[in-house]
Amino acid sequence: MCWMITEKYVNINIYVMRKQLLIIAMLVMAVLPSCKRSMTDIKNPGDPNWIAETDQSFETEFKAIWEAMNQSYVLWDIDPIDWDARRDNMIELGKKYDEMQRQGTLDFTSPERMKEMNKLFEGLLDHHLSIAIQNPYDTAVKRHWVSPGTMEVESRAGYHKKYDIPTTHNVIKKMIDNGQLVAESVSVAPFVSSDFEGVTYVMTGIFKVNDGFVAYIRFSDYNITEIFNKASEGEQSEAYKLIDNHFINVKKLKDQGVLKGIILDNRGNGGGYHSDARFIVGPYITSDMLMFYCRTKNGLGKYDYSLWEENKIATWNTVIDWYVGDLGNIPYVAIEDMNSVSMGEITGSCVAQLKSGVIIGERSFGGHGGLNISLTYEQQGWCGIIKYDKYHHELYNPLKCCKIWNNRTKQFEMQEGVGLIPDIEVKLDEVKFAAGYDNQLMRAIEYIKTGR
Amino acid sequence: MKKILIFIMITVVTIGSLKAQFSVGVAGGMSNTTHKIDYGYATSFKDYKAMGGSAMVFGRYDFNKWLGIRVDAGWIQRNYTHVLEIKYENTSTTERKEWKQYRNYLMVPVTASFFYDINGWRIFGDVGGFAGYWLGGKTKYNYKYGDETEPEMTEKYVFDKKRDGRFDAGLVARAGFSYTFDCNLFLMFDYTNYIGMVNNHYTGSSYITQPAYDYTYTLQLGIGYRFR
Repeated sequence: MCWMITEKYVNINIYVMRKQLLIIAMLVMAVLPSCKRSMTDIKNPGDPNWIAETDQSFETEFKAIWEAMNQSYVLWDIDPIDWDARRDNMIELGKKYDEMQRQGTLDFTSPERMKEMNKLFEGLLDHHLSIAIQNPYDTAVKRHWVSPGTMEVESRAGYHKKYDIPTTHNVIKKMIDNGQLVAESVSVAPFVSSDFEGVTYVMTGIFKVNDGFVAYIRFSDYNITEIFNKASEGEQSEAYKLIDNHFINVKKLKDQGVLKGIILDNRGNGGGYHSDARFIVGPYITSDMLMFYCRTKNGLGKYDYSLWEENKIATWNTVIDWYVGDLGNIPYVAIEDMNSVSMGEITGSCVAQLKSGVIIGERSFGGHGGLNISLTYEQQGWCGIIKYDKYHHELYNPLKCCKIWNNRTKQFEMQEGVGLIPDIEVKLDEVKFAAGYDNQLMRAIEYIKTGR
Repeated sequence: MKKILIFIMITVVTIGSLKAQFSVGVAGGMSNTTHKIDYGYATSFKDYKAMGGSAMVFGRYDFNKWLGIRVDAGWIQRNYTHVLEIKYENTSTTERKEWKQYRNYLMVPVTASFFYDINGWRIFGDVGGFAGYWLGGKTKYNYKYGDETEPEMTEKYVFDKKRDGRFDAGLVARAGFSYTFDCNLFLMFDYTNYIGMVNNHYTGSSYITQPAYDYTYTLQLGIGYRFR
C-alpha cells in the first residue's frame, strides 16, 4: 500500500519537478554572475576629506601614515620590518601625544619626541623614503621629517657629511697649487634649476698624468637633461658649455691617443633624471646597454608588483662630436661616497658594467627606487601632499624599486638599503680633506696611472 | 526535514526503478573571465575581461530520463587584463601600463544535470559546484606613453603565497544541448558559468582586505559516446 502511494506520488512529481529544476538551473546561471561582493576599506591618501580627518589628532595622523605606507611601499617582500606590529606602536604613541597635548606637556620638537617618532620607522629598507609628521594641534610648528635611510647612513662607521662641489673645487685648487695635481683646466659652473628648485653645479677638469690626460666630471645632481633641454630652447648656460666641452675633449684626447682615463665623481650626488645615464655611458657603448630592472607597485596589496621591466641606455653613436665607442682598456672610474644617492649610484653601476669600469670610494647611500612626478596621488604613494590651508603629513615614497648592476657578483641585484660596494674601498680622510688633500680623487688617479 | 526525506526517498526509488546510462566525451572552446576586485579610490587601476581557452574531459551518468550527474576535469584559462592608466594633467598625456595575466587552472566541476530528450536531441541545465587549482601562467606587459610604445615583455608568473590564492571553489551553472546519432556518438554545445567564491588576492596585512573572485564562463563544443 505504502509502495503504491509512493510510486503514484513519484509519477506526479517527477513531471513537475524537472520543469521547475530546469527553470531554477537557468535562473541560477543568469543571476549568479551579477553578484557583487566585497568592498575594500582602503582610504585615499590624496582625499582632502580624509586628510582633514587625519588632522584631528596624532592618533588619526599616525594611522593614516601607517595605512599609506601599507599600501604603497614597494619593498614589503624584502623588508624585514613587521609593519602590522608597528601599527600598534604608532597608535599608542599617537594616543600618548594626544594626552600630552591635553595636559599641555607636549613639546613636539624636543629631541626625545623626535627620537620616538624616528623609532616608528627605524629599520625600513627604502633609502628614498622620508615621512613628514605634522603637529595637528599647531600647524605653525615645523614638521618633523623622518628618513630611515639617513638614520642608517649616519650610523655607519666613518660617517661624514656631504662636501659640495664648491668645497671640493677649492681642495682641488689647493692640490694644484701644492703641485700634488697637474691640471690643464678645472672649472665649475652653477645652474639655476627650476626642476630642482635651486642651484645645481657642474665641475669638469683635465688632469695630466704620465704621458697623457684624465678627463674629470662631477655633477651635484643629475639634471643634465634639464640643462640640455634649456640649451635647445636657446639658453646655453655655462653648465651646458662645460658638459659639452667635456665630451668633446674626451673624444679629442681619445682620437689623439692620449686619453689615459675618465673619472666620474659621484660623491654627494643627490640623484635626478634617469635619462641622464645616457650622458654618462652613451658615448662609450656601441650598442644599447641595460641600466637596471625596475618593478612598479601595481595594486594596493602589499605584494602587488609588476614584472621586472628592463630599462636600457641607448648608444650615442649618432652624436659625432662626442661618440668615442669602446674605451678598450682605458679606465673609467666612478668615485662614490656614502652621500651618493639614487642616480648618483645608478650611474656608478652603469660605469662598472663597462669592461674598463671600476668603482672607487665608499659604500654608497643605497636608495635606488624610482620616483614619478605626477599629481596622481594614489599612484605616487604620497600621503597628504596637498597643501591647502596648512601643511600636512607627507610621504615621500618611491613606487618603483630597481635591481642594479653589482660589480662584485656581475649580476643585476636589489641593493636597496645596501648601496654600491666599491671595487676599491677608499674612505675619505676628512682631516686631510680639510687641509686641502682629496685622498679619494688621488686614489682614482693612481688607479688610472697604475691599473691597480 | 520531512520534505527533504521524502525527496531523498523519491530520488532513490526513481534511480532504482529506471535504467541508467553512462556517457564520456571531450569538450573544448573558449573561456572569458571577469576578475572581480575593488580598487576603491584608486581609479587608475582597472581590470578588464579577457578571453582564453578550455579543454575538458567529461563523464555523465543518467539516473533516469531527466536527471543525471556530470563530472568534468581539465584545463580552463582564466585570463584577465590589469591596467594602470595615468592621465598627466600638465601635458595631457596618458601613460598606460597593461599586464595581461594568462592563468591556467585545473578545474573539476561536478553538477546535477537536468535534461529533456526528444528525437535524439537533448537540452540540459546543470547546477553544482567546482574546485579549481591555479597551475601557473604568464604575464604579458605592454607600455604606452602617449603615442610611444615599448616592446612587449612576457614573463612566467611567479607565485607569491603571501599574495596569491591558488585554490578556488564555487558554484557552477550550465546550459546546453546535444544530438545523439544512431551510432551512440553525440555532439554537444554548452555554456558554463563558474562563480568563484574563494578569495585569490591577499593584501599581506591583517588590517586591510581586498579580495578578488573570478567569474568565468566557457562556450564549448564537445563530442562523446553514450553507452546504452
